Amino acid sequence: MSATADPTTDAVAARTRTRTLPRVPPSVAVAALLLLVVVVCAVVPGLLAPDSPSQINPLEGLQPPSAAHLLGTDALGRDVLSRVIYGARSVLTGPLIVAIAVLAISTALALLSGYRGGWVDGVLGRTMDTLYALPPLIVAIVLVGVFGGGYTLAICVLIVFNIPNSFRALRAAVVERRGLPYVDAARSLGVPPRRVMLQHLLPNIVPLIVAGFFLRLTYGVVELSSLSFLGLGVPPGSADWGRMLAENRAGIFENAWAAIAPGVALVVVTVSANFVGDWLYERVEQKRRSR
Amino acid sequence: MSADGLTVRDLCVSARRGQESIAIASDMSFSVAPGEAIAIVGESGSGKSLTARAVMGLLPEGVTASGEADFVGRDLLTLSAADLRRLRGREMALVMQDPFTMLNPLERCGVQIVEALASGRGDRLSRKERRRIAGERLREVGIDDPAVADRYPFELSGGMRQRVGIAAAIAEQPRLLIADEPTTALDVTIQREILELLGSLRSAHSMGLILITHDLRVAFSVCDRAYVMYAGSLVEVAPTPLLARAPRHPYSLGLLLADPPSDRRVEELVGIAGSVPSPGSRPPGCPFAPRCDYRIGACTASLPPLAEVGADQFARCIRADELRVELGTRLAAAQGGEQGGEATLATPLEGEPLVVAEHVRKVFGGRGGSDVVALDDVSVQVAAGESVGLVGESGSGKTTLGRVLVQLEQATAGSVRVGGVELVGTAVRRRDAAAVRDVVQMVFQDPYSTLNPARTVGATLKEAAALAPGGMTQSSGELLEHVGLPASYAARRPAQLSGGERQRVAIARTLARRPRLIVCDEVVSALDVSVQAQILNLLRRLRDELGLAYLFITHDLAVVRQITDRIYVLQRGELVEEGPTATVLDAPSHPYTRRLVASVPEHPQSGAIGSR
Amino acid sequence: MSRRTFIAFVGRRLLASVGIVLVVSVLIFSLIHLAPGGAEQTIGGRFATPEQLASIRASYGLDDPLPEQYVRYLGQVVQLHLGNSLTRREPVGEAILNGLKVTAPIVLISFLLTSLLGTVLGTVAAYRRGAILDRVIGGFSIAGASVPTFATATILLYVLGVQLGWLPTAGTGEGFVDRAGHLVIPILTLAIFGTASLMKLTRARVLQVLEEDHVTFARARGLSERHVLIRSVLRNAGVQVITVVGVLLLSLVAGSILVEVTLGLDGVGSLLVDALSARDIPTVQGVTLLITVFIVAVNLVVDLLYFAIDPRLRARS
Repeated sequence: MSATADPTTDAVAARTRTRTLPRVPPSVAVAALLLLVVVVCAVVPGLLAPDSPSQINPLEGLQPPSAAHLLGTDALGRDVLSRVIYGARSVLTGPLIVAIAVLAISTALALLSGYRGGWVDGVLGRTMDTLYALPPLIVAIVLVGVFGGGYTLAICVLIVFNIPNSFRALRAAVVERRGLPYVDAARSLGVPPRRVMLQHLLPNIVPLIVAGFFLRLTYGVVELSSLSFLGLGVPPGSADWGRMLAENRAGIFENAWAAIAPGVALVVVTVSANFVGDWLYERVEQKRRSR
Repeated sequence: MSADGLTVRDLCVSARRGQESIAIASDMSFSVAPGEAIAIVGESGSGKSLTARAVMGLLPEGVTASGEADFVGRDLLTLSAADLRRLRGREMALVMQDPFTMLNPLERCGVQIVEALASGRGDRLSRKERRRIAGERLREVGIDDPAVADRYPFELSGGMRQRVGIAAAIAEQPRLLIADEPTTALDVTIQREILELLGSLRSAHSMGLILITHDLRVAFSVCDRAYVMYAGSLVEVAPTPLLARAPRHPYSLGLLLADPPSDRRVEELVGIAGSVPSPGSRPPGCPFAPRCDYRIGACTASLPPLAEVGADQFARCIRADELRVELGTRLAAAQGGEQGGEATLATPLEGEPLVVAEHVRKVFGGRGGSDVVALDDVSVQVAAGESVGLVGESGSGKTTLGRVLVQLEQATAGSVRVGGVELVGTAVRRRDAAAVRDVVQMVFQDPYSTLNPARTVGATLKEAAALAPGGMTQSSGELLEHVGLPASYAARRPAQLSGGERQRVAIARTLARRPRLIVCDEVVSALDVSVQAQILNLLRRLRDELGLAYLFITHDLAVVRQITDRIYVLQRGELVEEGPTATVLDAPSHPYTRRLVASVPEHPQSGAIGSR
Repeated sequence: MSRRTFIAFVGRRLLASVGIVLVVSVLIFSLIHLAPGGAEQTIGGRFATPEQLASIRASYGLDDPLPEQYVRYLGQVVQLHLGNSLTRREPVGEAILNGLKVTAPIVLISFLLTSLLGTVLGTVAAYRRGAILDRVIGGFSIAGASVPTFATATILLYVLGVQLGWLPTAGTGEGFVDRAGHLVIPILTLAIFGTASLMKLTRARVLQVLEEDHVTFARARGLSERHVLIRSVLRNAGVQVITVVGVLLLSLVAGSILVEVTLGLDGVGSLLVDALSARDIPTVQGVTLLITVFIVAVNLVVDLLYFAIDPRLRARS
């Protein structure tokens, strides 16, 4: 039989090869842009902020917005706008660490558990099921409150209690793919288990991981800012949006912006991250359904 | 056409993808009189399923239909949703392909059968009435045990679920039943029963039947008239006996020739080169032209009309008249072969057999002590260069045995020696396991998931070749050409290949590993008939060239006839019969084998059409 | 499904739940010992004299072996003697009960609202997929589900309380109408969050079910759209949605803690946070135990519901 190319699949191949960038809905594009702005604020706050975030002027406490202070000042006379900009770093760092750690650990565990099965899977499964029932925020509040460990403890607790959620989703994806012929083929060819996990299973769940990253980021921001709002986690006085909201709530009648601005900033970050993550997740689901 | 039947004219179904409109089916015209059975025959991508759905008004989102569909004095395509709903169930009904997803998993079977009766009629039937009717309907579809009505779908087998589905569909005794591939997901012995059931229901109720299928044999065994579809258009219409004897379209001939007979082995299976174009990538003019042996320049210029070429026979081909004799001759030549007797019987090479399995037992431990015995005292042998078949239906254990050989499963008891290495009992040393892999490799059933979607074809082949003893001796390009694909495919990803091409890559991957025995697990079952023949030819050729041995796992007796010298027949994990292929299939001794052989629908190439 | 298997199943689950509560109670019990400064230091405060510390040790029995202390603790808990608050002038049990009078209505009402609105809107969005309504609902659900509850509460407080002056801004108020008015913002906050999350999940699940063959088959038999909706779509979608509803209830509890602090309501959540910052360990222990029992109870109920609804699970056990 001659090696003739099939004209019909040539057309399909040509079409999929010159695939343009995926069409992004405007809402997601805006969300991504906003996130980028926040990231810039976190990386180079000095470039954007008009004032120092920690300069205390007790005499100018809770001034309404003016030319010198676009969003007014807080109770200790600090420029609200600058504190919001500097706060970006605090708001992103912790959740970033949590998101990366959760994904790395849960991916590794999901691969092991889903691929190997057996008692490893059984034990891990039950442990995760038990932990899954406990809301991370409540556990964090209690533990950080009692032990007063601050930021590090908060991050550790959040990592541990957010792993089960991610683990479940990833393990399900691994188990779904593990039964597929191409994994069987790799195994019967003699590909060692580690290579099967890393080169056959992992690349095919990467889209899920990326989608999960943004969602994890959202949860991380919500949880950590909630903790700092309650006074647990970040040290007092730091430019953290949760903290700022808590400290300036009382002054809501003099300068509402001192409390509202960080609140709005939080809304912007969480909603944007969620929009992006959700869109990525939808695309993963769609690809899964249309073979 | 009778006023009571369904008459469809110029039905066009199209899907909207983004801004563009893609034609799924065009200019479909067919009719069904009461008591008549027609078949709409086509391979994947032909648009046959959506055509049927269009008639029922059950098209998915984004898919629309135009044209005319006259039924009981109304045009179905112009009816309001409410009117259509009133007709569904009562006048026309649909039975779907997959019995495992067709029924509501959370409701009992009896309830599902009668729920169409209770609603929408104003009067609510009493519970006793409903039970009685449910029992009646079940009996009608061959289920005598009334307790089935109280079961949930997951408690029943596939065949039973399909019967329940049919009972639910015809509960209100409609005039027209559309059955969309009703037997594709079922075992062949059950298939025959379901087809017989449909046939008897048709005559008992004078019901019109539209059978949608890809299997010509199924069409011939049940239906009076066949409509052959290719890539969205009707290419031939004819009464089934006529179509089986004298096809007038090259595609129909191709289908008939590609379908392997189960009563003899043919020299060369005639496939149709290429593959079916998907909607959206159909060529201009005659859609079959690129694959047609008889094409001329004018074929691609414009779409030929469906012209009458004989009594009740229509074909969409500009060369239909001049090809009449040629097509008939080719078919007769293929049918003229003798029954029985084998074209070739390869003599096995000397030496210890590659695989010796004795008294193999495999038990899967279920949860809560419900063990499943997949294999029980099965003994099988394959010598170097031999092609051996492993035949059985679902649950026979044939796939399990194959997987044991490639170490994807471990046998519970017995002895399995591959290349001299014992696999059962003691833990296998790594070096021995590798040696076993050098001897036996496997090709899997589903071409759409047999390749890693994230990797290029070349990378997949390289990975396999690197594991072979002696490393990579052939480049990816050479491997691809060996299986009939261009070397340039190495840069492609699986998503850019057709089903048949993917299966070829899978075969190339196995070859890269340089085994001596290839386990073929239902490797052509998921492919279109025209592509099936290509792959079987490829496998035969490779065997001749490379001296490979095969363990061919399949449920399809016709396929096993074409490619194996000896077969084993498995039933529920037990070996019931073995022997040379021709002997077992022509003169089966075990009752189960006899039933299997009898279940195969009559084949057009064997001349006589089975009794109806 | 026989009565015996059902009872056996319930029994097994109950046992497991009690087991989990016991395990967690050990951890809770040890909190007071693990807190910085040790138990007597915590109780006595930073300025306690050695004599005071000694008397504390004696009266609280802190010199006894730990297991004995634990058993004593368990005994007291079962009789609902949760100890005395270190900073307030009342037993922990009483403080918790008072707190529940505020927290319980908030959580329950928002849960009911959420369950109703979330499932209905999610189903509507799925049926009207792609239409404007679906997009709007979708956007709202993403936004509502991601914002931290304290931020939402503050913003609502600002808009409804400060700017528009419709609602009181702090505390719980007197009299029924006044109290109800004070509950509006917290309930609204939690309801927004919960509804958004539930809506998203319901929509996704209903969409999945709508594509399943049995729905098409039901329509093919001429069943009314309403019949299809209830018997085929909702029942099959509901099975998975129920599990999420349990998790959702717990998220509402977590959210209510924040909302109470934000709005100055003296519910159980505020009680917990105040106790944490005041190092009032017995109160922390009491509230945490209550929350644990609640979590375990919710999971148990969800498991039972799941079991009752899906016949396939019943067959397997």
